[in-house]
Amino acid sequence: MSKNDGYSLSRRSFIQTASTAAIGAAAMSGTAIAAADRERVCGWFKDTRRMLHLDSHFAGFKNVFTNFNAESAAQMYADSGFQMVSFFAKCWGGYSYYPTKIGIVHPTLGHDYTGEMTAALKKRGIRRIVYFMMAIERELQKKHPEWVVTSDMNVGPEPLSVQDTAMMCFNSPYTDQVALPQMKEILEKYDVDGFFVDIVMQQYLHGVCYCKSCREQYASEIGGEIPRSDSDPKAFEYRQWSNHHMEAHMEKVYRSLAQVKPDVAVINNYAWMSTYPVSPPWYVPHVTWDTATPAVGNYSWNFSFESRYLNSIPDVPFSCMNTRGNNWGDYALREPEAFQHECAILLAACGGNYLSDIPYPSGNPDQPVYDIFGTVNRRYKALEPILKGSAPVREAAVLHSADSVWSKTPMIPKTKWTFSPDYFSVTGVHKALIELHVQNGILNTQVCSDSLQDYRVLIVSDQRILSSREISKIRQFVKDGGALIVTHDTGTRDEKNGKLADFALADMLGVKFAGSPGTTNCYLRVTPELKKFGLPVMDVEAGGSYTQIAVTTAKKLLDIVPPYKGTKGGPPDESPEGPGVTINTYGKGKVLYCAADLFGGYFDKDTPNMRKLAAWMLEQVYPSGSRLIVLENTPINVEMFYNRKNDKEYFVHLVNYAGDKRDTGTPQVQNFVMVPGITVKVRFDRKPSELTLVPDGKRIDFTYSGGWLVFKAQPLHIHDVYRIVL
Amino acid sequence: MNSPTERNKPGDWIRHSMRELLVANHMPLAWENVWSKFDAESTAQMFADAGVEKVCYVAKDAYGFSYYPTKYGFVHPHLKRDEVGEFTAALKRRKIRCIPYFYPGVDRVWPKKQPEWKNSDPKAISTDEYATMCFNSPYLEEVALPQIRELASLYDIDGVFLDIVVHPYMIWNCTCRYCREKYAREVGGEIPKDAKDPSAFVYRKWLNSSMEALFRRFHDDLSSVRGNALIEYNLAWGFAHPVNPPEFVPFITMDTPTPDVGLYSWNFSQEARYLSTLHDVVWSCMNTRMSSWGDFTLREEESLMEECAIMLAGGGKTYLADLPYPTGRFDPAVYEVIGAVNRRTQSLEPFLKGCRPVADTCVLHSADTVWSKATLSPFSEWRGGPSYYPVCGAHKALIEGHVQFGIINSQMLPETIPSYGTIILPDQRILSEPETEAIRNFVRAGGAVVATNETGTHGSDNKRLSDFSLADVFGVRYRETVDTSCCYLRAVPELRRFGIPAMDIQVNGPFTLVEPTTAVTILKLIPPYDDIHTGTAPPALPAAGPGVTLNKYGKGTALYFAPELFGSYFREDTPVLRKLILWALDTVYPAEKRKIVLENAPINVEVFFNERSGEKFLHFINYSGDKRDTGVPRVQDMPEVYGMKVKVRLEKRPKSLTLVPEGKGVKFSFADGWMIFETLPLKIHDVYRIEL
Repeated sequence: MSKNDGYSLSRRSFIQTASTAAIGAAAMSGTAIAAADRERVCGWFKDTRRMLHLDSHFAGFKNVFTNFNAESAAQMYADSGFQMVSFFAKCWGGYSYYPTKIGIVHPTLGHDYTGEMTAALKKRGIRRIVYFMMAIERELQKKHPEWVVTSDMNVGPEPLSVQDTAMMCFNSPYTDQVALPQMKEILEKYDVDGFFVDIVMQQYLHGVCYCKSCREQYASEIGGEIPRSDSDPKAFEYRQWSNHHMEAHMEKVYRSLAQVKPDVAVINNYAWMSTYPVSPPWYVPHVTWDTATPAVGNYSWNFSFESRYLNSIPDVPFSCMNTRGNNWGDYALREPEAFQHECAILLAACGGNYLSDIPYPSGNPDQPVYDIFGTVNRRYKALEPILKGSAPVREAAVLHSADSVWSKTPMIPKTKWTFSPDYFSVTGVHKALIELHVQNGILNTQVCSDSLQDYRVLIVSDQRILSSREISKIRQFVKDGGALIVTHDTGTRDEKNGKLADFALADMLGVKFAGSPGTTNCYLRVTPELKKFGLPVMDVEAGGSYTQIAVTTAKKLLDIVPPYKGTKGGPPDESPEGPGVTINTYGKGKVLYCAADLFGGYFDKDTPNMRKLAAWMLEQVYPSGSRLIVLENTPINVEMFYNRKNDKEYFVHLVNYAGDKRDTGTPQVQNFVMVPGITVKVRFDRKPSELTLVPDGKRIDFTYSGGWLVFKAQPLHIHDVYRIVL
Repeated sequence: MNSPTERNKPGDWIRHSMRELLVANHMPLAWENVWSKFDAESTAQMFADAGVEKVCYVAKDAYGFSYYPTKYGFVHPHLKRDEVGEFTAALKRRKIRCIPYFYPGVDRVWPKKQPEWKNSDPKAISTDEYATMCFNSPYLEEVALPQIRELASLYDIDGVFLDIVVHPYMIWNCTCRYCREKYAREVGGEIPKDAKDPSAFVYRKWLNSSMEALFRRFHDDLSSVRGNALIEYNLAWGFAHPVNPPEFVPFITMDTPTPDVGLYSWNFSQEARYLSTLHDVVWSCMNTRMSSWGDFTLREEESLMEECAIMLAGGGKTYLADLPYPTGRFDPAVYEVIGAVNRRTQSLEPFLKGCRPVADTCVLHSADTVWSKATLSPFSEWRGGPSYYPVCGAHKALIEGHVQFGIINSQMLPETIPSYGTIILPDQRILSEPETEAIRNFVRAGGAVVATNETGTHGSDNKRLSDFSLADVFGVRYRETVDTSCCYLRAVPELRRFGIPAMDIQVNGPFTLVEPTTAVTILKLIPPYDDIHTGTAPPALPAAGPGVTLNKYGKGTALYFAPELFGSYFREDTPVLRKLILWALDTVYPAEKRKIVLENAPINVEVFFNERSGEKFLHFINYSGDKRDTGVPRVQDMPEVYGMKVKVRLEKRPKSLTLVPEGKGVKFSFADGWMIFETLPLKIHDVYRIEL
């Protein structure tokens, strides 16, 4: 990257950009202008819900694509209902699958895979996205060792595919001199709709690169050496610098390719997902990610979390990828039910599915895999016309502030595929709310500020940094009658990650910040009144550390009990230390404050009592009687999504879950137990005219009284959708 | 086997004590005022009110602290009372049995005085303050045994619970001076350091016999002071140590991995399926109220109910575990939950006493096979390592397939195999001559066998044989083992009715190359692409040979799998592998031959089928874990299961079918030797009594 390319930043311009980011974001991204631009770039993504990824990392195999039959493969994809297919141009092993002048062609490539696939898919009207592993190279490291990423990044290709490769730093001249020319070559050779670029974010979020280019740029733009630990006073500034470079890199790639194909779609895998909770800029046509595979994590949970976050961002189509096997590179075939269930979550959350196959070295697909994919897509297709245009009903909002994440672990916020602890306070709220069947959305800082007024309750779970705009919006929200739940260190840092003397929301909380003892656990002393929430009357462990507070205008509800006799962690002390949960009235609204990081603790330890504490807390400020939708007699593993369309139609999705009894490892989704007897209560100001199960069209009996539509759900197997017409 | 008379010697009362409690008070130095607010009387009363019949409480903990005035141990510096004495007296007053917990291997004084007595394995605990001592050193005679005798002479106890006595033999490999000298004296040469050492198998056998000798020594010493006292050797003779216990052991117990590490629901089932096949021992598994030892959470009542139900259904007893607060305060909220669980147990006890599992299918779990694969450290810390996976996988598949089965060890096989209809041999490398002969006779007489991979390819000395020891039964000849990380079975369209797609099914792990002699090949074995032996390479196009074969032998049938199907199922958990297992079982032992068949039952409902004179009992136990990204799901919130159909083979129409203990009559039909009924909606645990 040269200094004159328009993307490198001077220190002055970086600071200016960073400091104006919030204002700029509010004024530009996520607005009507951004939506219009996105529509112009790749509007077709809005109606593309059934996607397929073919993951052909064949560096370790011989005779690849030798007997490949593009026509029959594409026909199978078409017959299975796919609208878009991503397929390989360049793999993890640094090999290209087409005749290239820039890259290195796989030594035993039998066909021009990229070209033949493009032609066969186009013939069938299927959108074409080529997978391009931008950073991995096979030879360049010998010529340009200074271009290689120099960090212990915890990400790498599958061992089978790697062989002799190296990862190039995007801040080095590699991007301009090699990667972009090869991508342009593909655009010039083939009629593709765009690129799926893999492993972009990892260079910035999973590790710190100390290569020559990075060091020089940091020195010139910020000054000094790149920090090496989270405790470095400049670590937070480094994070913002790194983020800015990541965004600049992605924009540069887009702009460069758009010079060749103005409507090119560039999907950067993993970018703009919940891991990086920043609203995507206008040139991002689609947001997607392969969350941790069943060998590592649980799609069912991850898809829900990602969906609840992404569907709160206006006008951005999204999807999540699920593999046919237990892992990438694995040739197992999971259960048909697992795919139906995972894709139901995406559909219920207004997203698209992105099913993923691992082709054999021949490239020819296996019919049983597409029998399953076809079944999933047929259900999607049947529901699409009914659900088109629906969006989540706004009820409970969860703030997911990027700066709060960076504040906790600025240097390497993400250390593995699954979430690291800096995200737990938000992932824990999500887990509790879906289990409590509370209609919720996860909002980043920008979306929260733009749309908070549409919600009825806001949960701010250990969000250390609140911008002045957020604070002002939250204040207004509660004044107007909104409910607020705040935990632990929320609002205890300024926008540069400096510690504040008191909570930024102290007046609303009705408590004063008195200290952070930094323990590894703490307890809330549960009183007999909480028994009706299923809580035992004892000291209930409530997460990691806690905050010491003094009450000003709030009322104490529960005491906090520290670990025994000043120890860092352990059993509860004999006596409580002070207020643990307080409630305050502010304007027309109520504010509940919990000194413990209850939600982070819940995600980490998964103790059901912590969820019950969350249910009790929610009931204090936002009782069931005032909610928009309430479920009764519903197992925690049934997830509810509540959407609306044109103010006339509402949709209630119920999605079941079942995992096997397994000693260790993620349970396999399978063998759903039918759930009968769920009662659904939906608040309406007038009696709806119709309730049907869709797409079946079966009419469902309901009652309407006291502003509630009440119906008994059909026995639920995997996924049912109820359409309410006003 | 030893006769029941011989076994009745130590602690015969244990056979009638069903509801046990462990109080795990390990208290670090940093905790002040330990036991300062302990009220033994009210605590013991709370235990009694919660239905507890036996309590284990700490006399010497994992930090090396003792909780009573001792001449041999190191009393916790913040202890101002005789916790053991007060507890014992208060419990005894309420007729509750007393078993102090004793950690014999850890010490705070002797590591500094006699560092050469320390266990040398780096995995054994060793800090600046306390360390693990070697039982082959003089520590045993001079400190550990005298303190146990002291404890038994001071208090009216019913026995002791010894913790971490299996670890020195199954997990750690001590090479201290005393171990080296003992090994040289008893076996000769140096202690092997590598599992591939030719003498590693001999070393394993030596370790095992040393362990048993130590346990006998503990027993003899304790008996010398208190005749009928019982010793609970944590972890010994359970699934991970599949050897019949000696005559002085009437009771087996263990703490399987806690919810932070593993799943009680699964582990308890596996232990139960194994331990219930042993004769004349009683047993239990411990479940903590907490998520882990040392944390102070309280899990859901439902989860404790479900775990204990597995114990009861499996023929065991319950052993709930609590953690007191440092001052010796016990939380009444915990005992509300424990009390609820114990009340259910108590109400079921009349229907559990004297029951044995119905013998239908058995799985061989040969200790020598485990040692053969993992000579130095068969345990992987808390649980069995990969050498156990083939049997673990068989257990998982069979409970999910609602097959009534028991896991039998090598000693039990010759005696009990005739009572079963089929035997599964999951990669059981070493089959002794009595086992081989018993299996051969069993199949000849009409029994069915499913065997996998390297079953019967090693002699009792762990040396490889030139052919399967059951080659005639399998109808195939062994050629070689291909040490690859995955292979495939080419599923044919006929398997679709078992839910198996007609494609190459990935089975991770090695496979054997075999040559049929009298067997027919029913599925082909597909090797990994391009002979890639690492990762999960795709399937090659041509087959390498037979993958699954079927042979008629005498009146019976043998089905042989070349890949390590069961181990792969346990590791990867891919459901289609279970379907292959159930297809295999159906091929040799179809549903109509079995003693019980379930229809429309979810995989997470486990069935136990027991019997006693004139009665049979069916236990159904539900399971549900939450949707969690990583980590073991928490058992909770079980959805009711409707409409399971149960078919039980009986010679004549039974007199009645009732749900117990409620006594509710349940409708059934009887035709063609099958009793058929539909279960009531199942929440956690239901028990049906069939009166014959």
